[in-house]
Amino acid sequence: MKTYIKITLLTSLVMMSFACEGFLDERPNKKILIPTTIDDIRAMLDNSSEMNIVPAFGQLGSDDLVISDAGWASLSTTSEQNAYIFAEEIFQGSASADWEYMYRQIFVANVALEQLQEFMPSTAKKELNGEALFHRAHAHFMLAQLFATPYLANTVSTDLAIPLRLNSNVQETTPRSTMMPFYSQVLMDLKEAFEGLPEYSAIKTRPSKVAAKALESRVYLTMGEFEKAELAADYALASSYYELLDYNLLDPESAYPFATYNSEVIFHTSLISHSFLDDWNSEVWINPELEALYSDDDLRSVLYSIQRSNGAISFKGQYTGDYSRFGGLALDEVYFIKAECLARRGQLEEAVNFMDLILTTRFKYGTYVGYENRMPVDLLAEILQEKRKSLLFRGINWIDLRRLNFGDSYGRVINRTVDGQKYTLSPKSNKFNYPIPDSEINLNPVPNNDRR
Amino acid sequence: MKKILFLYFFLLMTGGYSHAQKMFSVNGTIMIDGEGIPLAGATVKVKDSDHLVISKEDGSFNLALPAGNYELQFSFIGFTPAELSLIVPIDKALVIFLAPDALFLDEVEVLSTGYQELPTERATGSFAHINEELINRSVSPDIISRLENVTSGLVFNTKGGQADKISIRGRSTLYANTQPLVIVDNFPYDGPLENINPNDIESVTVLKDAAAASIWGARAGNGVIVLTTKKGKYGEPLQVSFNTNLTIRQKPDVFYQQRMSSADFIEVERLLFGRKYYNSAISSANKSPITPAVEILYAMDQGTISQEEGERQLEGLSAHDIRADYNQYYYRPAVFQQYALQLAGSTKNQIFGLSMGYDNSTLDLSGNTESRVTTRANHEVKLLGDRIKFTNLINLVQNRSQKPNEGPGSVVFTGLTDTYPYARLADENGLPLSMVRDYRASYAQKAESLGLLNWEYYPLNELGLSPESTTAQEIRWTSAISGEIAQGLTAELSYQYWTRSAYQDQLFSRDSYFTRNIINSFTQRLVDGSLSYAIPMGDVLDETTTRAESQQFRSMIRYSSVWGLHGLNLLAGFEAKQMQTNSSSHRYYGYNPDLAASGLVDYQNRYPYFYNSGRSSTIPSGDGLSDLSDRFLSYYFNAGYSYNKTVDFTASLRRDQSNLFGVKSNQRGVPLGSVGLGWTISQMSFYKWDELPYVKLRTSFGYNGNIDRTLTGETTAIFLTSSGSSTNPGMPYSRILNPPYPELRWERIRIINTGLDVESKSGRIGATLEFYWKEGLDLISDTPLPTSSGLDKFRGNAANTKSHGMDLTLNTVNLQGAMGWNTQWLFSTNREVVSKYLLKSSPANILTDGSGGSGLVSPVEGFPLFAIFSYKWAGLDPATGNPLGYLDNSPSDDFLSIIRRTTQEDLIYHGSAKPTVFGSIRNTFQYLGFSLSLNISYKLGYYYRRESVRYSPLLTGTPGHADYAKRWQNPGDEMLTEIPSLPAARNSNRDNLYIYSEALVEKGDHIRLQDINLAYRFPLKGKRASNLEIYSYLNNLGMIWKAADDPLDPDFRTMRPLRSIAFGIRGTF
Repeated sequence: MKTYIKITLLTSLVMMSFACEGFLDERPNKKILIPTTIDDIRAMLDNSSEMNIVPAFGQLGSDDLVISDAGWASLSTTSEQNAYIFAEEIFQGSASADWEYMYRQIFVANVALEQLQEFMPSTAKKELNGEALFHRAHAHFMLAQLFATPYLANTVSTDLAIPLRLNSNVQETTPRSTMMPFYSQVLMDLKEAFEGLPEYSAIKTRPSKVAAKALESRVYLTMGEFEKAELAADYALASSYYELLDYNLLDPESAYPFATYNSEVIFHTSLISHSFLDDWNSEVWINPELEALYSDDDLRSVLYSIQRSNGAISFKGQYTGDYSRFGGLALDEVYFIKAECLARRGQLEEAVNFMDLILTTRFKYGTYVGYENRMPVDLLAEILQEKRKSLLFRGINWIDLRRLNFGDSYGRVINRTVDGQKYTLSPKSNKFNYPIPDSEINLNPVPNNDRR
Repeated sequence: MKKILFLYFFLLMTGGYSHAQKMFSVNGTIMIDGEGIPLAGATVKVKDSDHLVISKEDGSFNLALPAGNYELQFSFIGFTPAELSLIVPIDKALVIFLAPDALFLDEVEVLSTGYQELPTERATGSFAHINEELINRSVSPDIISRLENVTSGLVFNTKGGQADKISIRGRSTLYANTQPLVIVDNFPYDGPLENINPNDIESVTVLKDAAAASIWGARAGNGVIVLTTKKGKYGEPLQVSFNTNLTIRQKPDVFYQQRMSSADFIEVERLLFGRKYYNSAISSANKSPITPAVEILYAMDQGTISQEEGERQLEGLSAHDIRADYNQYYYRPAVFQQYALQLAGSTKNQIFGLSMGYDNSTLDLSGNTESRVTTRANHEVKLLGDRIKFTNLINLVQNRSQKPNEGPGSVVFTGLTDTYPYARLADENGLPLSMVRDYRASYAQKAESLGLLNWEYYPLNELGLSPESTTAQEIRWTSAISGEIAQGLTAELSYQYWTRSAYQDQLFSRDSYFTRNIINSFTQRLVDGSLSYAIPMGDVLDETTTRAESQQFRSMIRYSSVWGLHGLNLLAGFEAKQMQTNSSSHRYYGYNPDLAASGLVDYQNRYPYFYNSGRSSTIPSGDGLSDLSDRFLSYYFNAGYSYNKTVDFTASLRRDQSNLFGVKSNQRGVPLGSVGLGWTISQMSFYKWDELPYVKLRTSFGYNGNIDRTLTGETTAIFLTSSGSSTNPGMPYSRILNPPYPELRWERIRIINTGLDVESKSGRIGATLEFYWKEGLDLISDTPLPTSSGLDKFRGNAANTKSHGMDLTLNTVNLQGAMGWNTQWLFSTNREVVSKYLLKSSPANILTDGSGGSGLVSPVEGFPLFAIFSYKWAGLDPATGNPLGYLDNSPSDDFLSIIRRTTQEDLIYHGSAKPTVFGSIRNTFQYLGFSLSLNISYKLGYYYRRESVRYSPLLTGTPGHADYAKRWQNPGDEMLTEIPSLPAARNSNRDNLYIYSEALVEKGDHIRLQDINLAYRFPLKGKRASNLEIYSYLNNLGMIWKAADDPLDPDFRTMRPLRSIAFGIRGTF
């Protein structure tokens, strides 16, 4: 019987040694990996449904759109209904997709940044590092346009921004930072991102140097630092990879006249999906006051609008190439920033040049009349109005409204009427800050925004 | 102990004498085996003749027989019959010992842990044993459901869903696996439990505490169910047994759920139409569907039909309830047939068995069937003078199902969870009618005129057009060899190979709505106006192939020794397991089943939808792949020491390791163990109480474990490919699944168990009483996070639970003799609290998830894991019918503030959402060959939340609860109803205040007549082991008492437990 002992022991030993040699190293699910290679980080940042979206409630609060009574009644969430009528309470205890999804981007970016530290230096590492920093800066900035006060230079050291998340430790709760360090961090991330990013990326969901500059330009503009905004805009304008579209060459009959990744798109993102943005929703209209500003030969009006069966006019001119609404960075915005900065520092002629350059492409051939023949009394107002007419349904109007309504004399009062009831959002209103959702405050007791 | 199954006989040396020459007297006494008590009234029969006598008061009998060879048969109800061959004349008086029948008293229970078998007397842990008789008491195709209401401490959760079906002594985990480990033929079973043929099972042992289960280590946390299969016995001749039965179950009650009437729903649609709610759908570019009532209202509004005509049509719609059509066209009573045949036999050194089973079910959805064929063969041979034992077992299972009927769930209206309640499936003559589904009726109707396929949806025509079928094969082969190496030392190697392949397909024929819809949606209109088809004409075939395979290897050494009064049993071993599951799925477009050919499609480019050229998509592909693998390595040791059959000591230790992902290698394993002590007081010399001849005290302490394979210590991501509708189609990307969690630990459950076993003289009363204290440590749970972290929740070791309870099993023999009556009482309690939970669940989550119905948990420290809380209820506002809650202690209808400012402390705590007291009382009566067994089960000490109307979904046009009809409508109604008025606008906070108020909380306590088994055993002539029995089984007989007035069953909220009746016959030859 001794042989049996031997067999038993031998087999056991064989099995145990086999065990030690990686028997337990088999991955439980082939689809799941610990991201350890450059390609893994690449894939993480290429998750465009998470990384290439921006908040939509700014768009809902802006005067780009008007929602009919029926449309308001059929909005799928009460948060949307509340935001449209500038109610004091917005989320009423429910979650805010805008808040959550943007912080998710920041989390992914932080995970990528931390993982990348483990790698040996390489071009790919530098680029990915730049991309992650860009995403982090972009998400922080876009969040602040909803949940922090407008940037007011004299109160930046006391005004509250939002929590600034610089690591991926989910257990850590972060207080609201004040405006000054918040914006410096955003700018610092952008500058470092710029160093690593490639000049251009054909896959436009990935940021590039130009994207970093276009965003920087938007950030400085929001801060009222027009020289710096202009400097950043110049970089983008100098790039040969992007050029203005000739609107005459586009098909107005097409459901989506603008192609995905068209030559003006610098960085592709969509507004986070909400029922007021559904492209089939025929009860959400381009604000008729805005619609009335287009002249007959203005192709923007033709390419942007779709006549609904109920007679109303809805928007279809997004630069995404599909039904989602564009929320990214595009060359047209940079033109308007450049023009505004020039106008603000008194370079009216140059400003007018830039305006002519872009507007020529927006009108039917031969119908555009240059500014030299019709110099407006207030050029800045004209630039801002043309910008609004060009960039509607991208959430940019809201960002501009916030800074203009707190600044000089370019503010506007926004009026809404629902079921006969009137609602108003006046300049300098506290309602330009959305409340931080309860889901955050309950677990991270930071002071909320006072909207009274 | 007296519980010995076989017959002793021996001849006493008292002087017998002969009568006359012809007839000889045969004298004897019948005694109860092991008791020395005479048995009166027993039958003594000469086999193959009519000659019989009955034993007298003192157990004696007298027969007069001519000389010759005879076989005498001795029987008495409640005792195992015995036979005796003898040659008359005899010169001695006979003494016959009859052993009490297993039905009346426990047979010798051999408990099995999957590693060893041990008699109940030697156990220190908590075991529940279910014998074959009890398994056969109920009739069902599967084994697990037969444990319900006959196993102490085991409860079936009717509301928890498949993942939380059974709990043994409560639940000791939050998110990890909640189900007990099931062992078949000594190895964990990897297949679906439905594949185990109950006719192959000899007994079931449920391991409840650490001493019993810790041998299974990290997978024993939810208890272990050990199934012992029939294998035959040495010394038994060839036996053939069969069992066949037929079960008929009543048709599902489609009207069980309380849904609002068609008339009420049309009233709501009219209200919404008046508010222009449907305008955006009416003008939608997507050709959004509109219900028939809204179409009528629209036509009235547009003046295309007159008001009178419109009202008349609406009236027509109101009169109908689609559930009546479902009842007529979709359902039938289900019928389950079961056939089983077994052969078992033995030679001097071999035992063998062969078993076959066929189960055929015609399901309650008309046309759907399922079948299962099981085949088992086992063989054991002893070699080298019994020193080597070689065992082989092969088990084959084949499953088939055909499901041409997709059920009422397939009848949907885009945007609603089901469809509009007044839909009609057929006209007066039974001819199928079309229904609105994905598009406006007017659009769907004109499709053919546009050159498309018919785009209308006729639910009744769909029956049979998209049949789903499944075939699966399972093979399990177990082989074991054990050899005695030295005196008391045995080595054993065993191996199990298991595989299951399943093929599932669904063929959507070209005429099915699914196929017509997808072809039409992707039809392209070319510039010249002609049509081109992105999806080729033909059927669509979806198929999924799954292949799973596992191998388990075990090597073990046993040592057992007895010296003097000491007994020692040692066992040590090593085990490895690997399991691999691969699946792939694919879709064929343009499929032609006659030619086995399919068409080509372009998955790369986007195509605009025909119904809305503004939207586009790539063609959906049905491709999917998965590759999963589980690996375990375990080392274990088990020791049992007994002294003088009085004191028993057990200990076990096990270390499990698994291929957990992203953890350090020292976190891959966990050591777990237990110790137990048993003391049979009745064996002690000082013990003198004759009335209670068996008393045993036992106690145990130890740890079991649980495993959650989804967690990792490092950041993990899942790799995917961008869909066709994304910005970068086909681009690879990944999504982060888990943030890093370096502190990850395995869940452990600490259990203390103390038990007392007693048995009275003559076994009339036998009881087991156990108390236990369980503590779940380092339980994996979700903790909510502020969303600025990037996640809304995080899963980690964040909770502890504590529970304690008792299990009482009491067997009483109330009547003995010709009429037998015995009772089994099962009584269990389980009280559980969450003793540690790092975060405070928000009141909103406590209300929505706290009861466990949502599949999530929302623990509150100091309360049961599943608990019912509610908002304090102040009735309805007499002026508006608004629900009133409390704000700063005064009634208020400021819903938002109430909900925002109510803290967990402000909520009313009602009690546990799971029964804290439960059990059953089973009475069995026997008379002659008849037996009647009734089981009454009860669940007490828990609460549930009743459903009612929610206005927010209703005001988006979704049908709701019948309570709508009983809502507050006019001042004064608040005296009669607690159902709030219809609000002017959607307000989910107002709904929640009512839905989660104390007004809707009910006590769940109830007692039900669970089932009845009636059987008749034929008094058979013939061989010794012959047995023939017919039986009938009635299940889910009804509620005897419940605490709540609610018309619905507290445990069955969506469908009443359906009654069934079964008839069957079984026999052994």
